Amino acid sequence: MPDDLAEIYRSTYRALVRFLYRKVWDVDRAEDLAQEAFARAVVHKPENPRGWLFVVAANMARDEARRAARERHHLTLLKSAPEPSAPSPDDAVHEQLDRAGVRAALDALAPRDRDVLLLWDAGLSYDEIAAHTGLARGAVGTTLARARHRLVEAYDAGRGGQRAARG
Amino acid sequence: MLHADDGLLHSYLDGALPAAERARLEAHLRECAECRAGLDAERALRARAATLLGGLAPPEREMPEYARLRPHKRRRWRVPAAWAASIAAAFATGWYLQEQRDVRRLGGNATEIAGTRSDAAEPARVAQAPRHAAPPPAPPARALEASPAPVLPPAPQQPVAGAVDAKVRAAPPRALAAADASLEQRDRTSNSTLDAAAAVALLGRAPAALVDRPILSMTRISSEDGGGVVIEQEVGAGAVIRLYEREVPANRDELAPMARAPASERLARYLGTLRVEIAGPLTADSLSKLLDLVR
Repeated sequence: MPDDLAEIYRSTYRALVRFLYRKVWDVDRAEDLAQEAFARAVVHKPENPRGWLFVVAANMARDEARRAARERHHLTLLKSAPEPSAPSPDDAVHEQLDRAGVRAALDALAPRDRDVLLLWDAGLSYDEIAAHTGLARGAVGTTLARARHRLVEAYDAGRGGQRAARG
Repeated sequence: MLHADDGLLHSYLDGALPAAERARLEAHLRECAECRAGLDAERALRARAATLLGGLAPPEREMPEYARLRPHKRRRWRVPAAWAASIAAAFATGWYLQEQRDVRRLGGNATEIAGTRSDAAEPARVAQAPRHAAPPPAPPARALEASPAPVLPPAPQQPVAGAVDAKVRAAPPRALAAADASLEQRDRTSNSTLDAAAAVALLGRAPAALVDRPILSMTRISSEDGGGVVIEQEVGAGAVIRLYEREVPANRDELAPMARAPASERLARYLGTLRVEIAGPLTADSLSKLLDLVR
């Protein structure tokens, strides 16, 4: 139902952009991919649009990352490097947060742990996460617990390393 | 019950436990100080993880209107990346698709052959080749196999086939793929080739093209086909793309369709006052990237 989809768009678009941003680390691309995912949903009319959107978006982000890696390879051959994407301006609230550190910690997670964590953060329920990752519903909590632990540990380890390097 | 593991505690904190399990856990927590401490620790950790993730939010921007979403929206490519990808794609697919195109061209001729075969099989024509039995009417696929190149040398052992082939070559290329039509038109009316000044006069500005790629030709599109200019450029490995360019009227809806090729087969882009369409023996993805590079 297109009306349902319009409603889901309003309630989910930003979450989808945020989800994608944490995978591709580029706002423009995250927005493009999110819009593409919704545009595909309009065509495919999936039964569970919200979960479907995140799965499709995750797949597109993965393809995007692979393509970006290939392009970097070609670029080295052509000796013209792409401009690095500008870092997003820090939100004042998170001024003291080491964004690069969080990003490194997130990127260091196992892909499934990261996906589950990002899906939860995007507002999906355990049932939706289970349905779209293939995890048993009972395993979602365990996976989330592990992902959170590792995120925090990797972040703290990175910070500790920095302090040690400075001190 | 056994002590609660992290998974159970996180499910509980996430509000994702079914009512029965939830009640059981809460009963256990009332009795077990160890698990209460564990729950506090996991609650703190969960909040910490959420804070860390929350710091990675992208800058908030305006949402595009839902009604304006369209599938296959072209992505924004950074120029060098797009260029590298396009060149790679041209190298990888150029030859293959060139072949495909030749086959298609032949396919068109094959249709002609099939169409003219009935004339050729008339007894009078067959009589001109008295020492050979009339060949059975060849299906198009058979004709394709028999003609590996668009220009066949006359085959003396099959005079009828040779005659048909000559006739086909003389015939107007009715069955050519639409994208080739304007090229054929240029071949027929060589005076429509343009110099830069004439192109500027037609478009109201300098024509757009891929920087650093040789322009093979610049041709006028007749006004009955919507007017404008066709530019051919080589993008590597013998792959040639065409840019169809027209000045955009103040009201875009008045832009006449280009009759010679179905617009649905071409990617289009507005570049200032120009509408630029691209066609060529590359994947739509590569064409899209190349189109982004047109300046």
